[in-house]
Amino acid sequence: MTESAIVLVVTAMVTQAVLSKMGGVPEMRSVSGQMKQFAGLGGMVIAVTTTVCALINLLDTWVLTPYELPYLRVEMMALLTVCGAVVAERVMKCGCADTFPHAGSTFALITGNCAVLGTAVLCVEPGESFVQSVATGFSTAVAFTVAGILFAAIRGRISDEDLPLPVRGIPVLLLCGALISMALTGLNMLM
Amino acid sequence: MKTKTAQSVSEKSVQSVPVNTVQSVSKKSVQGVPAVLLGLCPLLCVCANVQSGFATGVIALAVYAFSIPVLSLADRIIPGRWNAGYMRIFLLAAASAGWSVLAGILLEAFLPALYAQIGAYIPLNVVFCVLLDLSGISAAWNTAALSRKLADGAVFILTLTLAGLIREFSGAGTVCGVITLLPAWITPVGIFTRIPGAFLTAALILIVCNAWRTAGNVNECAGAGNADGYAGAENVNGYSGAGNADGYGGKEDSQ
Repeated sequence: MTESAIVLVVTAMVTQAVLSKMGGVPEMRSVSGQMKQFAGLGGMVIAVTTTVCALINLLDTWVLTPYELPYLRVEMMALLTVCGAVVAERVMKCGCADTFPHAGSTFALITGNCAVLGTAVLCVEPGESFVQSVATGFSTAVAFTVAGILFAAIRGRISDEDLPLPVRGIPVLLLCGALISMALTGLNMLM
Repeated sequence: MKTKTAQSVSEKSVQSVPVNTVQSVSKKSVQGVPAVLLGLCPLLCVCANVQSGFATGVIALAVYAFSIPVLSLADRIIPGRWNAGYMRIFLLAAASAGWSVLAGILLEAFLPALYAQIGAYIPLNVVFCVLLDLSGISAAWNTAALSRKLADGAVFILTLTLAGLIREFSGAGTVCGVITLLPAWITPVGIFTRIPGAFLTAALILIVCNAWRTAGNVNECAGAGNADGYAGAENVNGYSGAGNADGYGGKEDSQ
């Protein structure tokens, strides 16, 4: 339990999926300076990533490892991600269509999100306990959401600044990302 | 009330996506990663040097080149009412995951050094959004669609290689791992080979591209206040008709 708690905190705050492993960066550019909108997407990413990590752990334990089918792992993860994206889009469209105007984009933003599949592929390893896999998935998705909200806040603040034309928009956001990433790299090295 | 809203959103997205979105996105996607900002994950996470950038681009495109025929075949076999956007994405994910695993096995067998650098990221080919976009425009094999895919693919490889070149040269002072270009008294900026350097390189490429475009027409500066220039910087529908799963599998071209 203590180990899972450590995994949770370290993954969410220090080993940032977005700013240290670069998963889900294209989704960052879709944030429009409105943190509420990104929070909706972040919530769905947390739900889908945690579910995929939990299911892949169960598949590993009951099917892939006993029957020696490791090559089907990526296939299963990809299909689970797409399934999760379908469910997430349906939920967003039916439940939150009036709150989140881009709810219809959820499917694409989750299917094409390296952070979701990347977490399952890179962070969840065969042989991990169920709780540990869930903690890893959840905390990585929280890290994605935190980074997204951070980017949305930065974008909201710098949108009115008088910057040179070629630097405005995404380039200055990436430069800010570089600075935050440097800080996190320093933290990683300290650990 | 909620149901009505959901219905209207759904109907609106179904009506709005096909022809115009696919055409406009395909026009922009010819300009590659710097134009539509799809495919930043591979650009940033694995392109620490020229070889890894080039190899990532080639492998990703090979995976999709082999996956698209599966999609094309499915168009002919699966009955129309089942062949909706979701089904196409399921098939594409399954096919590309299979080919990705095979690519990983081959790379590990024949180029183990390269596999050590990029092997962990090969499975992520399945969700590279730029390639989902490429395969989604059309599964057709007519000359126009094929040439557009080839142009997009070439730009994708070039951009990844360029990013690798900049990061390797700035971070290690070498090109392709062997040619040392910097004199011994200049110390390379090591941060460029790490993750922050990836952000800096991407920002640099975008600034140069934006400056290039603004030199011609100030109003067309990509993302500089005009979200449409970025094909989705403000408008998430820039994800090639992301408002609707059909946006990934627009069937207009495949007819």
